Amino acid sequence: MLLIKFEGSIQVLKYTLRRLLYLIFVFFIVSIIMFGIHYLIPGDPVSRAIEEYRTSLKPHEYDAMYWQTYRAMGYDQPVPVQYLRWMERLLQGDLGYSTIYRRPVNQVIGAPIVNTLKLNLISTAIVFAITIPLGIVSAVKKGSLFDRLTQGVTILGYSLPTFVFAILFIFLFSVHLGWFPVSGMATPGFSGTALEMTLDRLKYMALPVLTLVFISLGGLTRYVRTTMIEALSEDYIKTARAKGLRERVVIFSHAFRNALIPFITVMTGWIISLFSGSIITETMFNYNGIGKMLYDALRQSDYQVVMSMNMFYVLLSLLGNLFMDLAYGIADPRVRLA
Amino acid sequence: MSEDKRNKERIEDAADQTKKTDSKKQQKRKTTSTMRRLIFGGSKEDLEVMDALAVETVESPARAVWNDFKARKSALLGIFGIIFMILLCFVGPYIWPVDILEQNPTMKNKRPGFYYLNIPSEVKNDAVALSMGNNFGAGVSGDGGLYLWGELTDAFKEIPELEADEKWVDVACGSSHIIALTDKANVYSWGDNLHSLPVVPEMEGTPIKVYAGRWVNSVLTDMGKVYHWGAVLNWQVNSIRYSMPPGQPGQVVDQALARSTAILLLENGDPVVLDRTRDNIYGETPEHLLGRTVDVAATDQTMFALTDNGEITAWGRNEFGLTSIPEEIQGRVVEISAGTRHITALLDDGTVESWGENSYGQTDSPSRGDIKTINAGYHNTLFITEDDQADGYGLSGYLMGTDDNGRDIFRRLIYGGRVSLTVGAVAVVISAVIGIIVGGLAGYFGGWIDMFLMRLAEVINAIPFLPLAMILSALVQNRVDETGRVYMIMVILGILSWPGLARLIRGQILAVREQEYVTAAKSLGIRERGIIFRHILPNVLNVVLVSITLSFASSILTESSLSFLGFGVTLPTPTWGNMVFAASNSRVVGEFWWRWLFPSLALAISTLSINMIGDALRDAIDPKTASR
Repeated sequence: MLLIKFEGSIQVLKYTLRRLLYLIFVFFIVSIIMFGIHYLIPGDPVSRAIEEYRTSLKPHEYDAMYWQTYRAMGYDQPVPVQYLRWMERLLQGDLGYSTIYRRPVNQVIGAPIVNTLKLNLISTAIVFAITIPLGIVSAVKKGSLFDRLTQGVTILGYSLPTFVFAILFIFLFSVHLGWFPVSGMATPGFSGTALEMTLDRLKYMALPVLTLVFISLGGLTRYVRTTMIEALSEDYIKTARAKGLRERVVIFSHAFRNALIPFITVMTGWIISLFSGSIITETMFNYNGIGKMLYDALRQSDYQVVMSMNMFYVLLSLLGNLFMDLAYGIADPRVRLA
Repeated sequence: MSEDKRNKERIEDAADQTKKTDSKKQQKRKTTSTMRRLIFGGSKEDLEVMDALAVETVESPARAVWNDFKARKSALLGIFGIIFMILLCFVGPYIWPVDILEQNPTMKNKRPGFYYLNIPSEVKNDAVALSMGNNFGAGVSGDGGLYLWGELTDAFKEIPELEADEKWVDVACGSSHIIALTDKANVYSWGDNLHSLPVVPEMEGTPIKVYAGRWVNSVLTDMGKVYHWGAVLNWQVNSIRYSMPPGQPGQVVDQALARSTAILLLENGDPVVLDRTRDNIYGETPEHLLGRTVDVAATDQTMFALTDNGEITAWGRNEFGLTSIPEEIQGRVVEISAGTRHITALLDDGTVESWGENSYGQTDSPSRGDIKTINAGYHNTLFITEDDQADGYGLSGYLMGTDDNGRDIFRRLIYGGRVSLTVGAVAVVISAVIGIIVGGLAGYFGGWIDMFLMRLAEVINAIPFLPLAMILSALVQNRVDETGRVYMIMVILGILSWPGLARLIRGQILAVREQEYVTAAKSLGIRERGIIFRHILPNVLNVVLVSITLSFASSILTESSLSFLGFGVTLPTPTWGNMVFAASNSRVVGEFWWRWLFPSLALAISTLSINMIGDALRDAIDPKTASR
């Protein structure tokens, strides 16, 4: 018995290691592609970086500075060397220099990440609190009016783009009812007790949270419902019912716990995406998160930021995939990792 | 060549032809049957062979799926919805043509609805004078009352109070102001306050008629003088100007205002174009009109004069075919009146004829023969019949309002729908082709090919989609033209979205390969190719179909998101995404709700319909997840 378990964990370990190798391989391939795209971008990054000195310095001083920066930024090296340098810096956690903020990206990125995390944590909590009960009830009452209603409403959730929800909520809750501010992070110049400050910030978060919740409701509710229906049609549910267990016990202890298995995969992906932020939602509500930062960087051609953030996204999505598969295997021992 | 030989050749030729068509037919039959089998499974003819063995009536899986699919209300609703949208977007532009570069600032941000020609009953049944402005109208009724209709701002509604015994006698509408005359010769102007329009100048003589142009007011007095003020003729703002050109003899009896000048009709029958435009686009007034003109009219850039023999002469710019006057009406015209891009002529038998631009139905003249007088303005023609009934035709409103450039949202919406749906469809086709090939190869061959292709899929999948598409489109921003950009979006979308489908197909092929019926087929000694095409592929195709349907919807969404962020298809080419984007600031969201609501609705109907079809299809194919 112990031996089987041991062998099993060895297998998991081997699988994980192999996946990690793949992950590293894929990461490098993607990084080469991204670097290639970055290299194609027209414009002179050197003159962009020292643009502020163009008028204040004499031409020959500017020239000297230009070539100095040129060398300092490593553009005198061949392209593969440039790539290796960039990769080296990236792996050491140096995300480059932002031309918008005129500071290293590492120093700018902190606040947006925290903001995005806050936003996503709140909305994810609400999403799970709504979708799990909703999915279970509509699975149990399959075919009822309630179920059909939920199906109808949830299909809306994943058929409409984020920006439509965002505009709809701005129209309803900001323009018409005036409950929440349209955009921003906090009332400018607002001061008060810590509680009042928090409430003020929450008020600004309301619409982005609502939007994020609504776009996730549809897909997730349907997912819970489908997995629950599948679990409820299994033989062990019949057995449980035949044993005379109460329906509540059958649904929650037997069906739901099994339905959770595929659900875990979704959840893991979700947790990873907590860091990534939503470009559209954050941009629309002018919420200073990581998605908006990427959007601004793209708009203003701050490509160092774009590149490092994209690599960050790549890593997140790769890790997400890996964790999803591992979680699946751990949660459901029947799944053979191969 | 002898007759015989020729005949023989002919016969041979004919035989050849038959042979060719025969073989073609056979080939065609062969391909169609393969295709049919691929999609619908084996046919009845095939089954007849097996009839002896059949225990129960055999229903092909595809037929069962189809029957199940048909029975779903949501599926039918979805099919109805998407067919409606496709018809609207692909046939619509032929019915409602749109010039995407055209702008009309005077028509910006108009509410949806058809109410520009809702003439109040007081005027409708007893009209004395009518005038049509940009999207509103004014009329004087027989008892001297002044009534307004159409899109009325608060400033319009402030009609000056008259004394008890004073009555209105004439009215004229500009693009955003009104000028009116009373029987006590008082002139009032209200509405837009630009260019000192409400300030009526001192005049020689008693006013007898009022005129209004785009931010121009004009009055004709009984002394034969005209006065223009506002943003007058040479565009000197706020100048009041006596516009009878010095050196011109005679008195003015009528006039018509063009966009930046006026054409006067003198008592002696001379038409005079006030030559104050920077570039004289009208040229010389035709010689034969001198002394014979009885009526004048002017569109934005074309002049018209009616001579005493009932013929119209046009000169100036020939836009919208304005200067090609219908031959059959020459000699029968009694009155002319023009809007900005169309002209209407009243004939001696009481009928009217309009020509020029027809994008709003300006030239759809009614077939009635009791019209007494006409007054065209902007995009409409109003008329009064012999029993003083008032009516009009032309632009009655916008189904979905207009945007900030005065463009009709409905027309942009159907044009944009064509772009959105095409981009979505082409992207899906590209991704489906790549996905099927890659997934099929990986699933069928396995081994290092599988390993390589799946890593490739992983790489593509790991590239963050929205950011990469944004970078790529920023890269080519100025290098390709608008059409090129649209194609590029399709290709980017297609190339980046195949990994999901490829994985799905690979998985399906792996699963199906292990099924009993494949084993059975193998043990029967059927060739590998037969197994792939007749046994594996049809079973995978169902899933592919569902996946393609659903990813069609998500492609449309992604395109709209990209365009919404300003990195997809850019203005002036409309797509649903960039139409909503153009309306996404909070002021516009609240004030001009129609600018985002209708494109969003169109997007919602399309993706919803497609998703409903996809869902129903999936449920029909996989009864395990079915909702029933």
